[in-house]
Amino acid sequence: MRKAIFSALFILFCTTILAQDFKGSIFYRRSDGKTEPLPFAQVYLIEKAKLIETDENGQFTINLEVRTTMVATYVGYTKDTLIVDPGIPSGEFYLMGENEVDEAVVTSRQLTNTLSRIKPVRTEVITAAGLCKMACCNLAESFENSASVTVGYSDAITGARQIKLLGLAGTYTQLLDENRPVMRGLASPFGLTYVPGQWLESIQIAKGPSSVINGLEAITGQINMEHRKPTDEVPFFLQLFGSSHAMAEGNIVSSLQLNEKWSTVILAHASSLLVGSDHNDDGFRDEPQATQFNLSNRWLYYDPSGFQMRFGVRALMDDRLAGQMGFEREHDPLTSEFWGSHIKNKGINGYLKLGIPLNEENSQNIAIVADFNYHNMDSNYGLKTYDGTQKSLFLNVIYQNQINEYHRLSFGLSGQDDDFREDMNDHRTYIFTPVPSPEPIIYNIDLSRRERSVGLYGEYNYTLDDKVTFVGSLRGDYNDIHGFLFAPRFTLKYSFTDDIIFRLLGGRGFRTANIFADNIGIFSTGRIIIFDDTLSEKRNLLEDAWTYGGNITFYLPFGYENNTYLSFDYFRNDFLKQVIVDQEFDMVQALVYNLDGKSFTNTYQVDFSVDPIERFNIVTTFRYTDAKVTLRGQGLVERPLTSRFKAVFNAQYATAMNKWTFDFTAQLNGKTKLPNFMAGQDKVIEIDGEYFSPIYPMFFAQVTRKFRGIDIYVGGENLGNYRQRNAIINADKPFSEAFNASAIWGPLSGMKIYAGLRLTIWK
Amino acid sequence: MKQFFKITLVLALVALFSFNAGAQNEKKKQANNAEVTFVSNIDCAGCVKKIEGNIPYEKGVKDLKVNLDNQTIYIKYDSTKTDKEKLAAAIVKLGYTAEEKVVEEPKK
Repeated sequence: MRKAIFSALFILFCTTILAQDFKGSIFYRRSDGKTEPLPFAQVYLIEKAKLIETDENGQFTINLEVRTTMVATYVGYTKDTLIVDPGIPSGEFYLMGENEVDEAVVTSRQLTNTLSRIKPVRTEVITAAGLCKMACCNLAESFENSASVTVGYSDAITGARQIKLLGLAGTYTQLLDENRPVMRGLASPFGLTYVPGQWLESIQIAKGPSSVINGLEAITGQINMEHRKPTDEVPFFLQLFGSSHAMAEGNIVSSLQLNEKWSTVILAHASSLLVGSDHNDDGFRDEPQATQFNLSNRWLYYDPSGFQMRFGVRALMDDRLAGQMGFEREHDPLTSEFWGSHIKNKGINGYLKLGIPLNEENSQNIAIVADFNYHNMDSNYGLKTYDGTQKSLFLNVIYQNQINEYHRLSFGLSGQDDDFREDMNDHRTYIFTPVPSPEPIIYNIDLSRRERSVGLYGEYNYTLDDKVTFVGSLRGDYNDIHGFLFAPRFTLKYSFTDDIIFRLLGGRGFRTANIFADNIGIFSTGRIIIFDDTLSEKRNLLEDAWTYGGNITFYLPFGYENNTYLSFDYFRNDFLKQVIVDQEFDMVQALVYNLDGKSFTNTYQVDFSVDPIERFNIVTTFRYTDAKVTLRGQGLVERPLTSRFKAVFNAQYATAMNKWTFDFTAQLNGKTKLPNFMAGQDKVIEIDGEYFSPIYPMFFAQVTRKFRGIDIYVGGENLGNYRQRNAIINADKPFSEAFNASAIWGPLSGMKIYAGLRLTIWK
Repeated sequence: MKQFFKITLVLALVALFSFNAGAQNEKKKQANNAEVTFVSNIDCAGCVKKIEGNIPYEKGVKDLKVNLDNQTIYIKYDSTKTDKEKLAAAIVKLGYTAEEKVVEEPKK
């Protein structure tokens, strides 16, 4: 018995010795070498698969029985690992500030629309709160508060939207989905309507050519979209929306965290314009009767070692019925008595992103991005048919080395393979007037092309505290159509003081023109599309431009919480090569040719934001654009359909805790040079033989009421009911050469009232 | 005309009384107002959204400010309807920690 008691006491003693408490302390090591405790950092115990947290002093205590690997982590900091044997009483972890270690992930912490203080490139951030300021059915409608981006219609038929940044078409802006290029080629005409606003968490608009990591196509800038995250603790989100124009929309988003490592988000969208309407009695639908289904599933795997994997798929289906009211889906457009347009889009996208740390601190890592996109457009516009299929594969491997707190190097290799099958047929026999063919001849343009490129790039980043950031990058691509393409780019950010920030940037960009997709509006005309002979050589489809500019932002010490800012921008863009679609050289042709002369834009912008009192924010912006292009037979002229200025005034007031939010936005849109065939149209002004649109205002207002888990909002767009009437020229002669629905300078729809509901169920 | 004056007078008296009562109520309400700041382990924009989507609807909460950089949650509340413990419990229920931040009195 005594022996047994002795044995028991011995075991108890040994256990007590072995299972001692271990006290850990986590510190943040600042750039000046000083340390401070990190409260509420996380410590992952690998063998136990357990996550614990430090207290407010940055400390934790655990009972150790076996050797344990502990990884201390904190968002925005590097990791530190200790392997601790039982019996060791204490240990210290040191974490350092992580400087964008994972380039593939950019998260935004701003809570309102603002200019980013941190980013070296002038970046305007539209956050979730900003996205909720308006109905924001889709990405195109998310920019109403921004003067940097102007959104317009490509034509009065199809509902295709196009943005303009720095006075140039959106095709010169690279669109990124979490830093992955999207909406290229055939997906671009309707692409903006394929991103439901309710799927997004934030949008970042960066002006000017910035990073070369994603290729050479960013000429005027980059717009990056951040989607709702798999890690959001929202297992169910539902949005329902209806408008006075019979538009109905629903979105469901579900973010699920399966365990510590795996999480996923499912995003679903359905929308439909239920009834076609013709308010201006021109016989044409004012907006296409479009039905869209869109489904996406994104996954995140995050390992405490720092390894992360993101992958996802997306499927899209969009069916648009447009044209004369009598035209229906079941009609054969080639024999119908009505001028009709039926556009069917299908798309599938899949992507994989890997982030692999190469050392414990994650100061060296490799990111791999692979993306496959399939898009098919099957469409007709009266007697023109256009069928296109695009298969694109994008691969990018990026190595990053944060050498120390000052220097970071990135190298990479990326490849792009685009396979376009594009076929346009014009079934009108009389287009060959004055000698009509005795037999029906179908006029065909085949724009199919296979384009492959591989590029090598390097980027050097120098950071001196918050004072200076310099990013210099070089990229050389070998393209099997265009040969070698070489682009240098640089960005400099200098803080004179904490509150005066200066930015300078410049660089070169290239893209291959997708003539039909970039100019979808020319199908909605009676014009014969004629390509210059030079364009039979695919290498002449190359567009080449330099963009440079600067910004100075003053953060001013007044207003509530001193968050007032005043910002000035200037950007200049010069095209060396450009493909022009010209409807002014000849009245029956849409002529496509290469630029022969100058083409440039100068853009000036002033932004001012102030919170006069708590929860009351006023943002005013004014943008002036001077855009010129050399057109055949005219010389250097003002670029048609580019508004000279845009002024935006937005005021938002919220009651405590945003239970009520009131938004009001007023826009003043400057005059726009119009093509000469617009002479005599409604509201068109003639000045010295040139034609201009009038200056016109737009008003938007919205009221949002929040309850626990439910937001209800009611609002109105275009409250002044301002319209470009008779936007379809010769609507009564749709099969004639003079028919034209492609010259759009103003709003096509009148006042729209809408209401919506957002339901959020939190985890 | 007399009737118009009568009605105006009655309305004015009602308005004055309401204003007085309102002002008294407001004073009463303000007297009951209390404030607390919690230090929490919130570390993401999603956490802020979750707190902002729930805490305003807890009984007695008058104002809320969540600061991600400082990891603090400030709450103004009606002390007759709730207390610090209940508010801390509501934050913990959402999956975050809530330690009251004690503000040191400035030394005299």
